[in-house]
Amino acid sequence: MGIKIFSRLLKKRALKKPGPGLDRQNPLQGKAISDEDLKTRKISRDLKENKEYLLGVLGQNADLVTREINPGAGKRTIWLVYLETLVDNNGLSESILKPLMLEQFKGKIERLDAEFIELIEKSIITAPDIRSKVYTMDKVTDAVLSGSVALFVDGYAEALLIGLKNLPQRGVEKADIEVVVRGPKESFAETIEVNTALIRRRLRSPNLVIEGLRLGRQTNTTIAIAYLKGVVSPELVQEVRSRIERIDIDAILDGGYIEELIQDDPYSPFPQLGYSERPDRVVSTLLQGRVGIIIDGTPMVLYVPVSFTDMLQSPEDYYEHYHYSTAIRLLRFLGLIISLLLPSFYIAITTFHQEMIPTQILISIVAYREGVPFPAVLEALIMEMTFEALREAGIRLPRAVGQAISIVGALVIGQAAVQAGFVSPLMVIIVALTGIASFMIPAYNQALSMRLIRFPFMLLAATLGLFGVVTGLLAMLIHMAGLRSFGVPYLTPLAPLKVSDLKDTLVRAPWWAMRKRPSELVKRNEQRMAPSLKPHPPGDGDSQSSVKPVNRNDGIRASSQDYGGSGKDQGPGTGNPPPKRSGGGGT
Amino acid sequence: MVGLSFKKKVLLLLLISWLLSQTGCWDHIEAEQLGIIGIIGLDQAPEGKLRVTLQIINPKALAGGGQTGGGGGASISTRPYRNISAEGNTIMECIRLLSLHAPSRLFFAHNQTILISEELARNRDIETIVDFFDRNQQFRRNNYVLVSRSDISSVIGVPGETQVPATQRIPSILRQQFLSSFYPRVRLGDFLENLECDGKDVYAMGIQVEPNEAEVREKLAGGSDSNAEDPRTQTIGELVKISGTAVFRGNRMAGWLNERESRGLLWVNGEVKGGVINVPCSLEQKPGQNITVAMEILRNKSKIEPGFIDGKLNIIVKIDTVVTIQEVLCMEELGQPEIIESLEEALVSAIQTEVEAALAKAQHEYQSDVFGFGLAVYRKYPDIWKELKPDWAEIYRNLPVYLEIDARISRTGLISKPVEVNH
Repeated sequence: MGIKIFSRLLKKRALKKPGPGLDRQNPLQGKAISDEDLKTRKISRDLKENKEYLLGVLGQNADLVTREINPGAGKRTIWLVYLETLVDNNGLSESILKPLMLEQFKGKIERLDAEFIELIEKSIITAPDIRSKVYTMDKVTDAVLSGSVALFVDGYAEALLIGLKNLPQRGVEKADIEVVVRGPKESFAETIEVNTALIRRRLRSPNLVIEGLRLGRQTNTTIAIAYLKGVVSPELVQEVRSRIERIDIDAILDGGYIEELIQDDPYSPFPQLGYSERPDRVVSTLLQGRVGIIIDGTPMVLYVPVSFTDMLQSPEDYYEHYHYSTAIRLLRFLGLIISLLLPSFYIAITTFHQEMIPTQILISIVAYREGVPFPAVLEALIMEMTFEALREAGIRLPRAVGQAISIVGALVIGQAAVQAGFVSPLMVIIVALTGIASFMIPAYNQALSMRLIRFPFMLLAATLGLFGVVTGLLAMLIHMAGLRSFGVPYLTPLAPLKVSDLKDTLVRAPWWAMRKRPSELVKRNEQRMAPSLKPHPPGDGDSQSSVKPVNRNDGIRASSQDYGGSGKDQGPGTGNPPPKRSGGGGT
Repeated sequence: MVGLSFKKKVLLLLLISWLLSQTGCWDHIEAEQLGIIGIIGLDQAPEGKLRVTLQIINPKALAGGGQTGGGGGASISTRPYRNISAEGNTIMECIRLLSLHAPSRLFFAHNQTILISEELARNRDIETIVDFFDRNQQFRRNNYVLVSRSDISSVIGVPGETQVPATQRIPSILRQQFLSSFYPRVRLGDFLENLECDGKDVYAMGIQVEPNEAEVREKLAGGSDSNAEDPRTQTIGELVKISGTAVFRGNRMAGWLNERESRGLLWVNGEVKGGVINVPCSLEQKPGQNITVAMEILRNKSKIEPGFIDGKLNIIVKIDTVVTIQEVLCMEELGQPEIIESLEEALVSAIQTEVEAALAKAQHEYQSDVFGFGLAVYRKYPDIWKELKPDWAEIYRNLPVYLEIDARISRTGLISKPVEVNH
C-alpha cells in the first residue's frame, strides 16, 4: 500500500501544476488549519475555490485522492475527494463512478441540467449512505476523514457526502476478560458500528435509543449514548449527555479518557463507571435503567451508574442456577475482603496481637518465622510487591514468553525464597491467598482498587495494629458511603438500605422472585416480568394462572409516553400491571 | 475533610503518614521474638519467698515438621520446652528476674495452666497469689488452676514418651474430665469469682506424678528374662495424673477430696458430665461381693434449696441424673422393668454414698463450704443471711443436708439379655 501511495504522490506532483498561493508549494511551512476557519468556511459556487481550499487543508496527505469527471462529456465538472485508505474502492467504482460515467445516463444528465446535483443524489448514485445539502467545509473534511467520498459539482455551493467507509477492523471475538462458562461468548470489538450492532441484536426494541456525538478535537471520535427509553430516568440521560458534552479534549483514545473526565469524585480510587466487553452484560445494564456509553476504538462499553455491589457480579450469575450463583457471590465477597485485608490482618496480629492467634497456630508461625531476617511488614511488602511485579510482567510479556514468568515466579517465590529463609512459608500462603482472592473479583477495575488500597492498609497495620486496620476500614467506608456514581449512592442498596434490592446483591434470587428493576435507578415501569412466574405443578394454584400475563412490550411502550413527551403517537398507556377497569360497565 | 481542597487533603495525608512513622511502633513485637509460656508454676521457696517456674515452648520442636530457616543452626534443641525458674517475693518480681535469662520476651497470653504447690496453697493466702493473675492483662480467665501434690518441677518436667510437653499434656488431659468426673474443672475466672463470693469456698484440681504402672511391670518382666534391648524399659517412666480436689477454707488450703468425694462435690454442683459409676446388682449384696453393673453417667442437674424446719435452717439438695448401662456382671435380663427399677434404686444409693462422703469431708472435717450452701441461703434469704454470716462457719458445720436423688436409666445398650453359657 505504502509504495502505491508514494508512486501516486509522485505522479500527482509531476502532473499537477501547483496552484497559486497554496500551502502545497511549501508543505513544511503549512500551518495547522485554525478551528475557526474550518468551522465557518462555506462551500463556494466556484469549484476551483473549493479545490484550492480542500487541497490546502488535506492536500499534504499521501492517501488523499481527488478525481475530476465529466459525465457524458458535458459541461458540468464533478470533483470527487476521498482518502483512499478509508474508502472501499470497489464500492466507489460500482456505486459512483460507473453510474456517473456509463453511457445510459448521458441523456438524462444533459436533460436535467438545472437540478443537476439533486439528480446525481436521487437518480444516479447507488451508494446507500448519502448526505446532501452540505454547505460547510467542516462537514466535508470531517466526512472525508471518516471515510466518505465528497462530491462537488461545479457551479453548486453544496456537496454530497457518500459514505463508503472501509476501515480496518477486528472481528467479533470471544470475550477474554469476562469469561463465562455458560452464556454468550461474544465480545465487543473496536468498531462502534460492530458494537452497536451487537447491542441492537440483543435488544430488538424500538425503545433502545443510541444517540451519537463526536468528541476529540483531533481524533473526532464517535461516541454513542445508549439507553432504553421508558426504563431509564430522563434525568440520568440528561446528566450523562451534559457531562459528556462538556468534554473538550484533543484526543479520546479509549473509554478511560471519558471515564476520568465524567466521574463524580475525581480523587476516589473506586471505579464509578462500569465497563464490560460483553454485549449481554451491557444489555442487562440497559434493562436495569442504566446508560451505556459506546466509544469508537474501545472494545469496552462503559455504563453508568454503578454501585459497589455490581462489581461483584458476573453475567454468569444470571445464567447459572441461583443456588450456585448465590454461593459464588458470597464467596466473591469473601474474596474481596481477603484481597483487601488478609496481608494487613496477618501483619497486625503477628506483630501486635499475638494473643488473638490460637496457640497451635502461633507456635507454627513462630517456628516458621524463626530465621527470617525481615519484620513481618517488610516481608509482606516484599512478597506482595513481587507478586504484583509478576502479575504485571505476566500481562506485558509477549504471549510466547508469558509461561516463563509463571515458572520463574513459582520457583522464586514459592520455593527458593522460602528455602533460603528469606520469607516464611506462611507469608507465601498469605500472598497466594490474596492473589487468588483478588482474581475472584469479576470487575477488573474494582480488583485494581482493592489491590492498591491493600498497601496503605498494610502500613496502617504495621504502625497501629488492628486499630490501624479498623481506622482505615472506617475511613474507607465513610468515603464509600459519601461516594456517588451519577447521583446514585455507591453503596446502594446496602446504604441507603433498599431491602427489596438486596435480592440481587450478595445473593441472587431466582428470576421469578426478581420482578422489579433496581429501585434506585428505575422509578417507573419497575416490573420486568409478569407476576407469578414461579413454576408450579399444573392444576395447583389455578387462580394464579388465570392472571393474564402482561405483554412486556406493552409495559415499556406505555411508560415511554411520559419519557420527554416523545410518546405522543403511541396509544394510551396501559401501565403495568394494567389499571383496573372501573366497575361502571359492569351491569 | 470534606471542605478541604485537594492540596490540603494531600498535605493532611502526608502529615498523618509522617506522624505514623515518627511514633515508631512502640508495642510492636515480631512473633518470633516471643517466648510463649505454657505453664506457670508457683512454689514455696526458703525464707518465705516464692519460686516461679515457667515452661517456655520451643516452637521449632513443637511445630511438627517445622523446617529450619536459614538462620538456624543444627544445634537447636529438639526438646519441645524449656523450664526456667526464679525466686522472689512477688510473682512479677520473679518474672522480671527471669528476663535476665530469657532471650525472648515472655508472653503469657497463651498460658493455659497455673500450678500451685500444695505447700504454698496451705501456707500462703490464696488472694496474694491470684492477685497477679487477676490484675495482669496477659493472663486469660480460662487458665486452669491446679494444686500439685508433687513437686512442681516434676509435674512440668515429665518427659512424656510422646514428646508432648506438660504445656499441652495437662490441658489435653483436662479436656477428658467428663469421662471420669473425678475432679472438677476449675478455670481461673471461676476461681476468682468464687473467691470474692460470700458463702462459697474455692477449690482447685489436684495434680500429681505417679510412676507408670505398666512400665514398672515391664521392668519386672524385663528383669526376669534379662532380654531388655529397648533402653526405655530400663527406666520407669512417670505419668501425670489429675484427680481429686484441693479444698480451701477461706484463703488457705484445708485438705483434699479423693476421686469419689470429688464426684460427690460435682453431684451437688450439678457438674457431673460423665463417668462410670458402679452399682451393685442388688441392694442385699454382702460386702466383698463385687457383682455390679457399670453405668455411664449422661447428664446431671442439681438444685440446692435452703429452707427452715421448725425455725432451723436446713438444705435440700436435689440431684437429677440420667445414666446408661455399659457393662453388666450379674446375668440379669434388663428388659424387665422391675430389674431396671431396682437398679435405679441401687444407683440412687451409690450416688448418695458419694455425696455423703463429700459432705463428711468438706462439711465436717474441713468445714469448707465448697458446695456454696451459704450462697444459696444468701440468694434465697438475703436478709437472714446478714444475720447468719458472722457465725456461718459454725452454722455450716452443723447444717442438716437432705438429699433428693432422682436417677433414671435411659438405655441398656445394644443387648437386653446377657450371653448365657451352657455348662
